[in-house]
Amino acid sequence: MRTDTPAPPFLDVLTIQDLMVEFPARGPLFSRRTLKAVNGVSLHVAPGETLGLVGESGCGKSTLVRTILGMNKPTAGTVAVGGRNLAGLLNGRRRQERARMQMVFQDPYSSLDPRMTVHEIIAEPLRINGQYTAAAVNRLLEQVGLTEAMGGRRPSEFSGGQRQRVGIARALALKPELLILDEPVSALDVSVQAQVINLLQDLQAELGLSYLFIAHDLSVVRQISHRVAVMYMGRIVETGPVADVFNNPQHPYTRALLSAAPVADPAAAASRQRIVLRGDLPDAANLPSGCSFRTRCPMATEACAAVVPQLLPPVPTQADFPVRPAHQSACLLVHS
Amino acid sequence: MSTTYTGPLLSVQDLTIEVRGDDGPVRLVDGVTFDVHQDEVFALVGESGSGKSLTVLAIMDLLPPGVRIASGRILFRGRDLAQLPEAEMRRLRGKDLAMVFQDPMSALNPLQRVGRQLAEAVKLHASGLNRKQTADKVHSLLAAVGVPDPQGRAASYPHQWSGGMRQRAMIAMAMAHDPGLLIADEPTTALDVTVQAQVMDVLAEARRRAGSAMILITHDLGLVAEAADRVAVMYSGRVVETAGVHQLFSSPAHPYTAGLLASVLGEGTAGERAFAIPGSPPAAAERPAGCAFQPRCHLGSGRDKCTAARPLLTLLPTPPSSAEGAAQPQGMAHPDGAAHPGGRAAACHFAGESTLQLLKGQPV
Repeated sequence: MRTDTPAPPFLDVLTIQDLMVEFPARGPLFSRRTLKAVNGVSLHVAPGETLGLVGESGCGKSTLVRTILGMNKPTAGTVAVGGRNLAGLLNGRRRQERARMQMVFQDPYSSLDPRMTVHEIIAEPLRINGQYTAAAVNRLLEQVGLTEAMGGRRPSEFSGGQRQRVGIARALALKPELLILDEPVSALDVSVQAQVINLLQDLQAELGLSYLFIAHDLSVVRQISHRVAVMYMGRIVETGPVADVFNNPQHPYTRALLSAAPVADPAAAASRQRIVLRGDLPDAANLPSGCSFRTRCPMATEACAAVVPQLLPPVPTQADFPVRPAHQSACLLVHS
Repeated sequence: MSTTYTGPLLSVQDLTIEVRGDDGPVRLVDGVTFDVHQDEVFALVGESGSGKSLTVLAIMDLLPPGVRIASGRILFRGRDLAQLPEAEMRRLRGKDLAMVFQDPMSALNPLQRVGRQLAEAVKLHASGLNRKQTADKVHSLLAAVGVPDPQGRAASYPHQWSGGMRQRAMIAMAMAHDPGLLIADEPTTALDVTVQAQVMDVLAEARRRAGSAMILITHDLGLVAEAADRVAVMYSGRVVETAGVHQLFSSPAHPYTAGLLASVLGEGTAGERAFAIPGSPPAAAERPAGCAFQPRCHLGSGRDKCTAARPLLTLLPTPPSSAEGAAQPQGMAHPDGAAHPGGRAAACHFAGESTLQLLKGQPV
């Protein structure tokens, strides 16, 4: 129904190729600089798969999401949904295609209109697309663990976890294939986070959804993701199956990130080796030459200033923990 | 005074904080009791709305308008802060009692150079310093928290500082007079993981240098495990468990603590179904009778005792092998007689009954 020529099932739900997003920025005096928010990112999400996107603030995650949703224009590269490049489509058609992916926001307090009832909030996308029935809204409410009666209330009567369920129900209304979840549990209390994570996993199993799951909390990403991509200063520096990346991180940034995350075990905390990075993120309008991580990298050499490392599969080794081909990283030292 | 006083550095006793509501006062903090001793890091853990921030704001005498201490005592070096005149409190605040807030951007004045704001904090309790001495002190404070080029940075404005650097400046400000007690309210929640690690290190080092005790407020059990000596877990305005950090994580006595620990995600749970405590915390005005956690509890749900009577924080027997439990302070008796926050205590009618089973992932 959504498209007259349905995409073949084996195609990735989302394919991003060499995406670049640049913004003009002011330099000293009258000079102009370019801020490279997304600097050559390629990603794909398969049907039924969760790709976890990890990175700290300023790494370009949000710009990437905005560009996928068409709120920013890419400087170069493509975003394809179900194998179809969105940039090449006319507006009406592009809107149709874009309905195949929906967004769940971080803050369930500011992303729901306080004057609307929950029923109306979930009904809105259905009405816009002429698909509204009360039964459809009630089914969505039930799907996310809320009741029909709750639909008559306003968001202010709900707890944070319940509001996020409303946000998920709204995102599911148009039967998308892909949900983009931007920090969906980080505003929630610890005891409620697990409830929402479980709901997302149940919905994925039931509806065959794909997730692009963006979070800074590594334990949450590990819990829900099949694959992970680690982003630093606009680039993907490491990507691979979740267990590979977490158990055998290759890129020094990934290692530092994993080692910095506190572990809820006092005995392990005492003996743990932490890599504490020096300094802060570099200026995105004035990136260091070569590898943008080299200014904070504990292992950087002179060669790192000369070459921009590419995301590459591992070099075959005789190591005890061989790195699998799907596990790629962008570091000269890993590949030398 | 401190030479003769032998009790705990801080003793919060049966503290109740209220706000005016439509149907009479609402108890936001409901009889909180705990001690903090010299040199220790005491973590207050709880979800939003549990009352942990209000508790420390009451200690600092910084409660928002309309919110007041209804009863209880806050003894700092034996003196009741709740009874102290404002002028006396001002002499303590920023000197012997200091606080680091969650969001360094809103705690700093955006229109003033960072150095000037630090100088203000320095001069507040050391008015004899001249301009040069104050500047030197500011620069050494910034250097001590690892701010590179302190002279240059002091002359810049907060927006020119990164989040991690701003929080370092806040720590420098708090440590200006080597406080006896440092209160850190979610000091790294607004920061990224790698920066969080840096700031926690800076905080630990500054605290060690000054010999300050610290109350660390956080919802992050990972940070508790790494930084705290003892922990109080708060739920719906009440302390439900206090214990040494190792005890708390290895054998939580309160079912809420056990539930929180069981819902921690990690290597073991990846890809599996996560444990989740059902429901969500009650609003302060709708706190159920008896135990506030009872409707969500795997132990108490449906048991008469849990709905009938509010469980008091009660001292539990400590295994003799546990060194931290054995170190009992010789403080004053507590109002309810039984609860001694120096040891291991839980507010549950059925404390310890089957919490371990929950942690091992068995069905409950």
